[in-house]
Amino acid sequence: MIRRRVTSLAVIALALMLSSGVEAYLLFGISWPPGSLPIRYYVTNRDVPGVTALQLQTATDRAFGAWAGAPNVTLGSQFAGFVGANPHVADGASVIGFVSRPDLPRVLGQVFFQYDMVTGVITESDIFLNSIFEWSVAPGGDVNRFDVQSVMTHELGHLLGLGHSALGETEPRAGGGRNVLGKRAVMFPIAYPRGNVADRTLEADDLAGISDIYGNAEANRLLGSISGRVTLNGAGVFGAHVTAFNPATGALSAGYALDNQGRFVIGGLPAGLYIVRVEPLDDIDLTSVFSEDTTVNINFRPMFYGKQVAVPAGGAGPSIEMQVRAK
Amino acid sequence: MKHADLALGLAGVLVAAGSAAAQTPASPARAKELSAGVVWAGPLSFGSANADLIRPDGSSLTLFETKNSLGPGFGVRAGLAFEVRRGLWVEVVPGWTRASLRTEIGRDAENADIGPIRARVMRFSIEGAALYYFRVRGKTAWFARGGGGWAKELADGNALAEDAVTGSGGLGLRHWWREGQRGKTKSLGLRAEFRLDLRRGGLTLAERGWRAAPAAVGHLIVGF
Repeated sequence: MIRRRVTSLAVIALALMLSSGVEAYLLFGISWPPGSLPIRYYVTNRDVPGVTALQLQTATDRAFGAWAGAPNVTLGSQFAGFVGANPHVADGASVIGFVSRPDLPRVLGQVFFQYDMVTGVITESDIFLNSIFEWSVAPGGDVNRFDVQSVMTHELGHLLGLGHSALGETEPRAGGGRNVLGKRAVMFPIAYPRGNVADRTLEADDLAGISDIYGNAEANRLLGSISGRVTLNGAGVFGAHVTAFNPATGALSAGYALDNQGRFVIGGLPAGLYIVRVEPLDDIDLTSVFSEDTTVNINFRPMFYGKQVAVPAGGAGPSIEMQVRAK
Repeated sequence: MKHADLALGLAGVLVAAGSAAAQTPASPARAKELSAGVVWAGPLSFGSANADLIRPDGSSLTLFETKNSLGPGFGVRAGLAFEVRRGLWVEVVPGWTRASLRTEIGRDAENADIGPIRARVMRFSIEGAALYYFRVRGKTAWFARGGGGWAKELADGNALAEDAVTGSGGLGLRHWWREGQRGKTKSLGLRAEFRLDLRRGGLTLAERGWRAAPAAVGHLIVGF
């Protein structure tokens, strides 16, 4: 299956930040500051078969709209014009466009960042969609082509500061890669097959993530979090994937244990009672989330926490500890 | 449909009560009653919900299933009742109940370790109710009761608090084992009641709308 990744250099730098922090699940730890909103972006003036530059801009605008339309977040975008420049050029301008990358035969799109390593403020972010694939902007999708708006929604999630979600199930594919059996997050690192437009619409996990970064005062008042530790024989389990399920809404959100104490935080959750489950991170390539030199423990059995966990509006419930067993 | 049936049933009880009361001897006039007692609240389904992923074809891939319920609970009640006319009383009843939220997990996609998932829930409530005594035999009287009120439900060390609207309807009996004289001595007695408790809102898992659960209440009453 074709994968989408953020640029390796950025992932390494950002994953190191994730490894040393306990901030939250899928966050890179970087964002656009309020003063830089709306995010100004340019589109490379290059057509590809089936999609013109104008159509790409329109699809990008809709994809931005999906994120900006999340409840109680402060976000905005502004199309600044068509340019001849390619994405992935450090020029101070955020550029989105098609680029042919036959050297990346399984990558649909990539995001590049320039950001302040100290403050985490993003100063530039470029996105390219790989034009070795066939693309479509058909309203209902095209069964032979990848949907621009769906993939752009995913890539814009990265541009806004979100990492990959692991809310999905996959199976290894003959010849390498993985097939998606099912997923519940636009930010899952493996795309739906050609013709599928489901990723135009954000899921609860995406909304939780974006609210965690760009939530306004109302979000702070309404949303809460679950925090705790995942331990194995008393030691923290780095990289454990923790899922929170709200039976009242059917919503699924997730996060990772992000330090050697096994601590995790899942933020941006509507108030309510949640069923919490932890599992090893074995359905995606670990490098989709962490840097290659990171050791992630996947040698434990999935389990459920023994209580429904209460998430209050505007706060956090009691910290929980999930004691997993080795496989 | 169930609600309509319930309403009709309660109406039937009250109509029957009215006609029966007209034929029974007047009960001793008691202007007020104080009561304190215990309540057993029966189990209440909180519905089922699946944690689903979405397959490429749009169908659901279930990660796991949940079946949720509020287990039997126990609590205490206090009440103050006034007789507004012969056989008809109104009362206000604050109460506290403790119960256990239960979730059963099924069909986990990865055979996760599954143990009991439970959380303590507390409910503080206040209810207004009307009682109609429709039959009196010596020191014992039968009544129909209906009421409604508000509750605050707390979970997980009070981390989460939600409001609920409540209602109830049922039948019971009161028995005096010592009847006092107005203005001189107090009456002492017991009241037992079986009813259907209704609830909407409050802590929720996967239930929707009004939910009904049986309940039994026993009160020690002092009449004066």
